[in-house]
This record gives sequence, structure tokens and C-alpha cells, in this order.
Amino acid sequence: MNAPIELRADETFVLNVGPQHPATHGVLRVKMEMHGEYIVSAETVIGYIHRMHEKMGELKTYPQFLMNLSRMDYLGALGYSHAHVLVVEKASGIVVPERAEYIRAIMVELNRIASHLFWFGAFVMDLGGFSPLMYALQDREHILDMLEAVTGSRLTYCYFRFGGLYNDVDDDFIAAARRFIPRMRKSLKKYRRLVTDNVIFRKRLDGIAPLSKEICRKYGASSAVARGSGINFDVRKNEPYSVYPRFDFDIPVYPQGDSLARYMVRMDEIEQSLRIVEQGLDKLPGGPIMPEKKPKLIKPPPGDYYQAVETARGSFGVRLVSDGGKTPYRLKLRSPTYSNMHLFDEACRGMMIMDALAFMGSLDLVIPEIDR
Amino acid sequence: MNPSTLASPGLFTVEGLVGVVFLTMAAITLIGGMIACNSDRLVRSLSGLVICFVGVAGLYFLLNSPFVSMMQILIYVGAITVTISFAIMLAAPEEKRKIGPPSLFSGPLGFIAAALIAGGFATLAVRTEWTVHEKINDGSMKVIGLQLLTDHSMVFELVSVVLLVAILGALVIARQGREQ
Amino acid sequence: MRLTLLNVIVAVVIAIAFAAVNAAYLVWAERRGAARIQRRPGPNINGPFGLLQPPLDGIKLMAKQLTIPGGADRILFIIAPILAMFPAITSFVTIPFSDTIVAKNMNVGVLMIFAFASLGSMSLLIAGFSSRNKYSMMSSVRAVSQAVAYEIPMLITAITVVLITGSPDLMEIVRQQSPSILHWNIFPLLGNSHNILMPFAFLIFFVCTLAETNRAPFDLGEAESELVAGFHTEYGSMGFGLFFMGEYANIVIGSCMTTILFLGGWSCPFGLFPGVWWFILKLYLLIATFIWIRWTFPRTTIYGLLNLSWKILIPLSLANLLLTAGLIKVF
Repeated sequence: MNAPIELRADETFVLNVGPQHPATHGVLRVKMEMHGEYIVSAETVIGYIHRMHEKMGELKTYPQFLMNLSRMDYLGALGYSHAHVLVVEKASGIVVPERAEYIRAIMVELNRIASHLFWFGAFVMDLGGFSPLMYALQDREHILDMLEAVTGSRLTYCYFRFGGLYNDVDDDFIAAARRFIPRMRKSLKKYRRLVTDNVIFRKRLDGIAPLSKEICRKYGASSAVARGSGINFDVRKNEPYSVYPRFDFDIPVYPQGDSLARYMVRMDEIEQSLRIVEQGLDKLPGGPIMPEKKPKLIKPPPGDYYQAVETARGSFGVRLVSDGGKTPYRLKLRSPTYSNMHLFDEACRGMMIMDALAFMGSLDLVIPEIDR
Repeated sequence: MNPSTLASPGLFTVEGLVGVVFLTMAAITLIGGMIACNSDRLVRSLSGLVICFVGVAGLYFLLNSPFVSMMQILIYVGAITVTISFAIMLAAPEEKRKIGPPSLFSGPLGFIAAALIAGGFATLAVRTEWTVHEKINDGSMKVIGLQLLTDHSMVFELVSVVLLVAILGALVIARQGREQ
Repeated sequence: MRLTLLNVIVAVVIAIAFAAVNAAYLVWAERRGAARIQRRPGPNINGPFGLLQPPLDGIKLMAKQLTIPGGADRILFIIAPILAMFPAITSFVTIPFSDTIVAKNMNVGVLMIFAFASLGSMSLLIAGFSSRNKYSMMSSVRAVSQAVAYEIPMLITAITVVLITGSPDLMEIVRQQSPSILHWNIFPLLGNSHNILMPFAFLIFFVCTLAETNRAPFDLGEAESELVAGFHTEYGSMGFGLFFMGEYANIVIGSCMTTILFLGGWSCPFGLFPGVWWFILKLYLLIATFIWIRWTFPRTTIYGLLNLSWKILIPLSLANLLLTAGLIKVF
């Protein structure tokens, strides 16, 4: 696959994919050196929507920064907020009520399903199939409606607070979530028949763009990219946080490493997330959603704290260095897509452009999250 | 048909209209050929060639041979120019302008050669006793097929040998390219 | 003489108008069909069922400025969209919609259609090359290799039908299929050929039509997720409109040919009331299938596409041709 290709300079041409291109799903630019339809080398150029979230984190107080996290990844925003509140709670020693923990898990998993659904539609659209996107968006719409009723927003949630939540869930939400689970399972069956078992779809993905374990480790890939290559790593299992150890769920792992494996991992993850939501609804305890005892002003003691969570796009970590002040000394955001994307440069060599862009779709890139 | 009617038919008679169509087709053929020869860009030359072929097809059609005319378009426009376009793509994606001045001889010698050929054809055209046949046959597939396989079977077979040689040659060249 | 000439001109104009109206309204049909498949309403604001959408789109496109990119080959850039529309529309002249409704029947009708269809790939080539855009260039390379690959099995399959009929005349082809559904070339149990493989020939022909008209799942020339919009990336205004309409006109031509060659043209499956309505019915059923396929399947790859043609369709269609010839000789 990656055999060295020796070409004269005048035999290749440079193709600028992006910053505005239908396949990059945002303002990512890929400079590809092409030999006909084959890619000789590629270079991803990022930074077109860099918004200095990390610097903002140093300048804003902790509660002020809450809303920034959800602007990073507009598809699976809750996971990012989760990491932030977890690390601040860890630093300040705030104890979160159990009900809040459960609701957080349910919300994050619902958000993960929504994110995967959008990815599913967009990915099939990358391959030229339009209709699944509309089906997926319809299912996603149910989730967004539920989340909107509770959190007040549809994409850029600011729902989690240090120590708990902004708003408690009501019976309507629980009933809607219970209705949603069987409906989503039915939809998944439909997607399997319509998309996964489609012969053209399979041919486009099966055996295409195989990623070895080594390259995933080298670039720090996580999420379905790593799990599609046989690396059994999921922060929810490996470094458990919140109430995840109390749920019974599996981590789908496929050893093939090709685009199909990444696709299958994500589709299986939707099913697993449904299981978590189901158990969460069953186990949901009563009680307050905010701790009774909470400092008025968040001022974590000096120290170095880190918390990783499994977001829809992989392992997202927040490193907080506090000097004891109102604002952090340093707030480092480890975004998963950044690592997942950079293996594209190395892995796509020698591929045809169609396969490479399908491969890029299978990485599930969300550009604002790379650029932060 | 005697020469006098050939010389001056009225424009709105059948002969006159046929003459207009003939002249149009001939002009299309000539213009296409000129574009093909004189253009700087390969793609434009190719387009000129297409125009030329379409003109020739029109002439065939006018000569009551729709089958040959359609084959002209199907094979020459549909297949041969497309093959040439492949050659262009393989050779020069960003074609350059003409390189260097033309050789000293190309101007005058080319002119002489062209004049000789044109003069020869013109003499032939004028000297020949043209007889207008009413209609030899209907120019259909059936007649042409029968002719090819009976009267002209030798030519037909020889042409297939030429094609075979061409395919073998292409295979040999392609193989060499692969081994490199 | 003058009367016949007038007749021919009127008939030709009607055929061309039919093509243009079809091309415009198939866009509407496609959008409505896609919307039904995707559970959306589709265009429904302008006029009843959104029927005024195509003319309004046309007015909008015509009102726009035709921009020509710097460094493009201006003449070829303008010619290409015209060349996309012209052969597709001209082909309608020979299509027999019923035994009386035909603008100008030709005794080499099959050849004429294919000859003009082959002109279509030239327009993609010229558009791609003259745009001076790398995406357009790649797209035209793809489109041309695709056209070459799929013209061959398509022609061979058409020749099989011509062999069964014994004539390349479209009227004659339909006339021989007229008696009943069993005489149709797709189910050739009665009639000249007894080749049970003809349904496969029909499939081959249909797949080739999909590929020749650059329709999904073979729309590699305008694979929008890779090549932005392919050969018409740089086209706006009516240049784009002509490409768009040319594509739909080609679809109609392809469906007309499939109807005539395999589905018995204007003849009725039970031998009752043959007429143009049967032709129209079959035609639009095929077109609906085109739309259905487009909104269901993802796109193939370029190598998958070429392999399908060179390794499967061409050998199969050749084998079918030989078998048919043999069967005709035997019976």
C-alpha cells in the first residue's frame, strides 16, 4: 500500500482540497500531491478557525469558561463540558450528588448517539448516498428535542455546573427517552439493511485504508479509529470516571483497521450508548442535583490536575494547572480529533482520492474541535 | 444530368438546396481541419478534428449513405477522438505553447507540398467525367455487410490483420512500460 | 415537397420541445422523488405541487451572469454546455413514440442515437479541459474513461437486439415486439429469438445507460464529495443549466432506448390498445427507477466502475451476442 513511489516533479500536481471543500466538513485544508488519481503525499493544514479557547480559559474565571467548551465540538458538546466540570470538581473537591452524575451520563450518551448519527449521515453522504443523512437527522432530531427541553439549547449546551446541573430532568424527558430507545433500535436495524449491507457501500469500505495498531499508537488515536484497529481502549472502561463503572456495557472492537471497521465500531457504539441510557433511566436515583455545600467562588488549590473522558470523537482530556487564583494558570485541552486527523497524512499515501476522502470521513473530523 | 444544370440551378430548387447543404458541410469540414492544424492548444485541435469529422459525416449523409455517416460519428468522434484525448491527457496535462521558431524549410516546402496536393485534387476533380448514378443501393447495413463479406472479403480480412498488429503492438509497449 | 419539409420541421420542433420540457420537469420530478424518499416535502411553494419551480429556476439561471474563469479557454468553455444539450435533444428526432408519432424515422435509428450519445462525452471532455480547474480536469478524465468503457457493452447489447430484429430501424424493432409481452426482447419466448439470457442483456443495457448518463451510482464525473462538482465546477448561470438539462435529456433518451429495444416500445403487454400512452408509461417508469436508484445507493469507485465494465459487462454481452446469433441460426 505505502510502497515508495518515485516520481519526477513534473509528473505530479498539487491539489488543494479545502479550506472550502464538500469532503472536509468544515474549514480544513489538505494539500495533496497527486499522481493522477493517486495521492503521493498529503499535508493537512489546520488553524482556519482557531479561536484561542485555551487562552480564553486562562483569562476567564471557571464559571465563565463553562460555555466555551461546548463551542469546541458542535456535535457532541456535552462530553467536552463533562471533562471540564470533572477536572474542576476534582481540583476543588466538590462532591457531586448521585442523581446529577446519572443525569450527566444519560445526557452525554444521548449526545454521543446524536453525534454518531450525524457522522453516519455525513459519512454516507461522503460516499455519495444522500438519503441516509435525512433519516439520521430525523432520529437525531428526537434527541435534540429532548435535550433542548432540559438544557435549553440544541447544540451548544451549557448544562453542567460545577457540582451538578443547571436543570433537573422531568417526567416528560424520561418518558421521551424511554420512547426513544426502542425507536432508535428499530432505526439501527433499518440502517443495517439500507446501508451496512449495501454491496456498493461494503466495496467502498471493506479493506480500504487499513490502519495498523502502530500508527494509531504513534499518533495517539482514540475512539473508533483506535478501536477499529483492534486497540481496546475506551476511557469509560480503562480510566473510569463518574458513574460509568456501574453500567453494564461493552466496548466494540474490530481488528481489521479498515474504514468498514471504524464504521462498524461507531454503529455498535450507538447500540451500547442506548444500553447505558436504558440502565441510567432504570437506576436514576432521587435527590438534589446540586450539592448542598459548594464554595461560592471556585478557587482550586494550587496543583496540576487532569481528567480525560470518552467523547463521541475519542479521548478528550483537560489539564488544569491552578495557582490558587480565580482563573486557571493553564488550561490545556487535549482534543481527540487533532490526534485522529494527523495520521491521515501518513496513512493516505498511495491511496486513490476517492478512498482517501472516504477514509477522512471515517475519521469523524470536527474541525472547530481541532482548531479550538 | 448535363453540365448546364449543374452550373446554375436556382437556389430554391432541390438541387439548389442540396448544393447549399453540400457547401455548408464542405465548409465545416475545411474549417474543422484548419482549426485542427493551426491551433496552439491540443484540446482545440482535437475539437477542430471533431468538427471536421462531423462535416465528413454530413457529406456521407448527403450522399445517401446514412450508415457510413453514423459510423463516421460513432467511431471517429466517439472513439478515435476520445482515444486521442487520452493520449493528450497522458502526454501533457498542462500543454505548452509552441516551442521555438519553425524550421526554415517548413514554410516554403510545406506550401509547395500543399499546393501540389491541392492542385492535383483540383485537376482530378475538373478532368474527371462525373457521372451521377441514380442510386446504387440504399446504403443500408445489410448491403454493406454483404459487400464486405463477399466482394471485398480480402480487404476486410486484411484490415482485421492490421488491427491485430496494432493491438499486439500496444500490448508490447504497455508491457515494456510495466516492467520498467 | 414544401409541405413535407414543413411537416418535418414542425415534427422536429415538437420533438425538441418535448425534450426540453422533459429535461426541465424531470428536475422537478427528481427533487420531489428525492424528497419522498427522504421524507421531506420537496419543492411545494411555487405553484401547485411546486410545478412552477423549473421555469422559475430557469429564469433565475438565465438572469445570472455567466462568469468565465481567468485562464480558461473562452471559446471551448462556452461551446461545451451547448454541446452537452445539442446531441441529446437532436436524438429525439428519431425516437418513435408510436407507430405514427415520430419526427423523422431513419432506417439506422439505433446507430444514430448511439452516434449522438458518443458526442456527449466530448462535451464533458471539453468542459473539463477548458475550465482550467484541477477538479474539472480529473472529472473529465474520469467521465471519458467511463464513457469509453460503457459504450462498448451498450453497443454490443444493442447489436444483439438488432440481430434479433434484423434491422437497425427503431420502428421495425418495436413492430416485431408488438404482438404480446412474450415477444418483447426482454422475455423473448416467442418471436425470433429464444434466448433466455435476454433479461440479463436488459440489465446490462440498463446499467450501461446509468453509467453513460453519469447517474448515481456511477456519477463519478461529478462526484461532489471528491471533485466538488466535477466538470461543471466553474460553470454558473445557464452554462450550468444546460449541463443539467442535458443530463436529464440524456436520461430520457436512455429510457426511450431501453423501452424501444427491450420493452416493446408503444406496444401493450396484452396486445390491447397499443399507443403512445404505453410508451410514455414505460418511459416514466424507467425514469422513476433512475431516480429511485440515485437516492438509494452510494457511489462506486472509479476502479470498481471500470472493472465492472471491462471484466463483467463486456464479456457477458459478447457471450450473449454469440449465443443469440447461434440461437437465431438454429431456430
